[in-house]
Amino acid sequence: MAAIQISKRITKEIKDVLKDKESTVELKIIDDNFQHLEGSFDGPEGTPYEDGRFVVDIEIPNNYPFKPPKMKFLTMVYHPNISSQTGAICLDILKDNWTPTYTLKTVLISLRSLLTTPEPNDPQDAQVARHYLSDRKDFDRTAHYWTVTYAPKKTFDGPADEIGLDKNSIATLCEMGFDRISVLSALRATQNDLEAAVQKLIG
Amino acid sequence: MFDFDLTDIYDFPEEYGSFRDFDNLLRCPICKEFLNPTLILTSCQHYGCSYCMRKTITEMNICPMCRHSADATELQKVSLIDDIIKIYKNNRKIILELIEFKKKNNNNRINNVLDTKQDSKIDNHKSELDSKDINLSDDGDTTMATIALSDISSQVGTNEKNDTFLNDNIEQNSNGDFNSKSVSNNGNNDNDNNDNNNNNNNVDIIDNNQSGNSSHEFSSIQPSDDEFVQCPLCLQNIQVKRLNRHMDLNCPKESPLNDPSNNSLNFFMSSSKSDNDSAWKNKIFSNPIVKPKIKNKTQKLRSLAYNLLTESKLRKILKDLKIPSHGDKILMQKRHAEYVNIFNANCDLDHPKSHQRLVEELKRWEKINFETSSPFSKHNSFPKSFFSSRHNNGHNISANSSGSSQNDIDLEEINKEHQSYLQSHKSDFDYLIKQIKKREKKKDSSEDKETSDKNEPEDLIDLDIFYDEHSHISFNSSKEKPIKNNKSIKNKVVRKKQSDSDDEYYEGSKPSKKARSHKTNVKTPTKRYNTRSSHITLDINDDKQNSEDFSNMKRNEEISNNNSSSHNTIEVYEVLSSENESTEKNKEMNYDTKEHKNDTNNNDNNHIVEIKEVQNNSIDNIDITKKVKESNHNNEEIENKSVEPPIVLSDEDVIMGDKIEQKE
Repeated sequence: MAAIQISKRITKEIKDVLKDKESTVELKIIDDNFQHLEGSFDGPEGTPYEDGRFVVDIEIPNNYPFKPPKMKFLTMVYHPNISSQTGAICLDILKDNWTPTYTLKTVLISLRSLLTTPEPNDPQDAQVARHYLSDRKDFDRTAHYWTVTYAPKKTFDGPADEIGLDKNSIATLCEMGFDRISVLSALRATQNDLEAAVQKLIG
Repeated sequence: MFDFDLTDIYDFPEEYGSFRDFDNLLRCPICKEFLNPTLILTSCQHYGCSYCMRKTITEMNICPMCRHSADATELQKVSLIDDIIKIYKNNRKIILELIEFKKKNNNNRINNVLDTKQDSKIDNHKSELDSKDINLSDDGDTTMATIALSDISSQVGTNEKNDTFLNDNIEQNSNGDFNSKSVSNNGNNDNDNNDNNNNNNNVDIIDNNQSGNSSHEFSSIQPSDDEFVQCPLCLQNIQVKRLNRHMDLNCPKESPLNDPSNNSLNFFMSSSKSDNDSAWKNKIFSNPIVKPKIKNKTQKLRSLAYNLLTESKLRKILKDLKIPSHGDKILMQKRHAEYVNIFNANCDLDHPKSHQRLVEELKRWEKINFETSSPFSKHNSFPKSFFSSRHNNGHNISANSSGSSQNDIDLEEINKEHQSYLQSHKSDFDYLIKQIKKREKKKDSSEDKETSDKNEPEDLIDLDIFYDEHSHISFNSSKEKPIKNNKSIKNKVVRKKQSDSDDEYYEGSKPSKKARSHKTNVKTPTKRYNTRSSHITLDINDDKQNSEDFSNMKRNEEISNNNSSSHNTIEVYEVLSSENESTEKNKEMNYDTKEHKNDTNNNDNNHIVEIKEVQNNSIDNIDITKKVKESNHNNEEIENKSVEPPIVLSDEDVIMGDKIEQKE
């Protein structure tokens, strides 16, 4: 109820997250009164978000845990249930289905599973949802491109202009004898699609 | 509710996962604290803290665990769990330490096998133990016994320390528990012995087979202030924080309210030592758990159907409950709901808090939830004192929020807030007023230009000067009032005064301005500005319409037609002046303008003075108009005006503006 209660509970939740080494979830306190935090987690494996680390802004309401925390993605995510503009999240447990027994950790894990199983029929970003429903393969490519561009897991070790591009594709295309700069722009335009990039370079 | 233990299940090492599970079971799934007190939902068997469960159910009407729909009436207390938790909490630290011990001993045994030099081992171990002591005292479980208590105690409980202790024997663990219990409850241990026993223990651990007084080094544990302990002199149960005073006063009888109904009882006395029989006896007769619990018989509050209650009824209910009843209905509703939660949760406690404490909690809750981020605070639902505090950073509010036991916010405080708010923002108000003045002046002058450019541009200058002077007067009079009185006059009042005076100013000082304000109601507004004399006719017609007295008009006509003397005109204006003040002023101003046109600048100055007087004392208007009239004898003007077809202007109250043909 009071601020003490909130900070106590948040402290415990942070400890909970710290102790759990299996989940990739992390929590960081942004301001002193435990009401503004930052959560992050790795993109789920086997999805286009695999190589990314996603940062979520968490705002704790005064009557937490009786009201859900306010969360939004700070990282740009290409996902039907996440606004590509604002990072707003469409997840039932952050709205009507919240119960006080949920914790920040469980919510972050839920977000992670939301990345695994999008629900295009209840979209936050209609355009992305349409893309998802119409061309799943292309959607995956775009989502992966966004992931490597905006949510790189580790700092990119290559040259700055290669951020978000597949190293192997660049190497392959360069071996083909194309100009490196045009290779980069072609890959960027085709979102890392090697064949499309070749087409573009030839055409 | 406000103990600061930050214990959690991770206090137990990973290999003791079952302890983690056990610990977790006794915690509220909502606040993650130990259940205090436990309530169970009879429909789905899920449980939680009293407050957490009640709050969840009032907020969402669901079980927090399974989202099954739930009602507060389904909640039931489970005092068995509460008792278990009490004992567990008191012994938790010991369990942890035993686990720690065991870990260390395992290491030591290995070392022992490897290393035959015992002495160095002892030293090492000692230092390890010392460091552990420090860690333990930092750990923060505040519900345990203390050195202070063991100081007072006289008897030393004997215990055997076996190697089984080191071999994961739970019963042996409980032996340790017994010692700590006796420290906290019956004072069976001596602190000095503890120190000695530390050494003994060390030896024990290393030798693995020696027995001795196995008191332990857990003496750094402090009981919380609210914990009940036995007075060493009179054996009454006293709160720790009252203990010193109690003994200073030669052990007076404590009121039954302070009597603990249920202090922790040692259930871990599994040792079959015959020595313990007497200890048992002591406990049975001294331990309050045997006594019948002093139950709070207070009836639980029920939540109300707020929709069916009027605001005043709800306010009365709040008053009856002795909780603050300020604010609007929504706020009172929320406050009542929260109070019901706090109150009922308090009823579930073994040691209910006082009403005052509850109200303080309520206040804190309200402050957090409604003062800062909640949308409620943005509306007027909050008392002015709270509201203004957000603007007056930290001014006066600290007294309000910090622990003063006053429940209601006094009117005085509110008044103070008002005053300070007014004073601190006085310059802002003044600035705004000036801004508006300037703006109006600009508009006026521009309009005057429009109107007077056609006919007599030379008049404009005079008029402007006049307005300046006049506005200055009215502005001053309005501005100084609230400041002089220095009473809690609301912002609104100040503004209203200002606008009133503005009206006066416009009506009194400037006919064209008045005409402008009626512009929307007039069908042919341009006509008014055709000639200078039309101004006058306008206003006279105004009067006529207000009073619906056509005889006045007739008289006017007569006067004008007959070229009557000044005496007659004065009469007319006397009649007119009885109608209303503002129109009077208009008339008066008309005459002023006339004079402006006809006379020199010297005359203008006189009129300004006169107008000032008018502004200050409107009752004298008639006389002044008379003077003006007499001094000028300008009958020509009146003639002109009667010739012109007058336009009847509607007043602000009158919707229609009609053009009335004048009969000659």
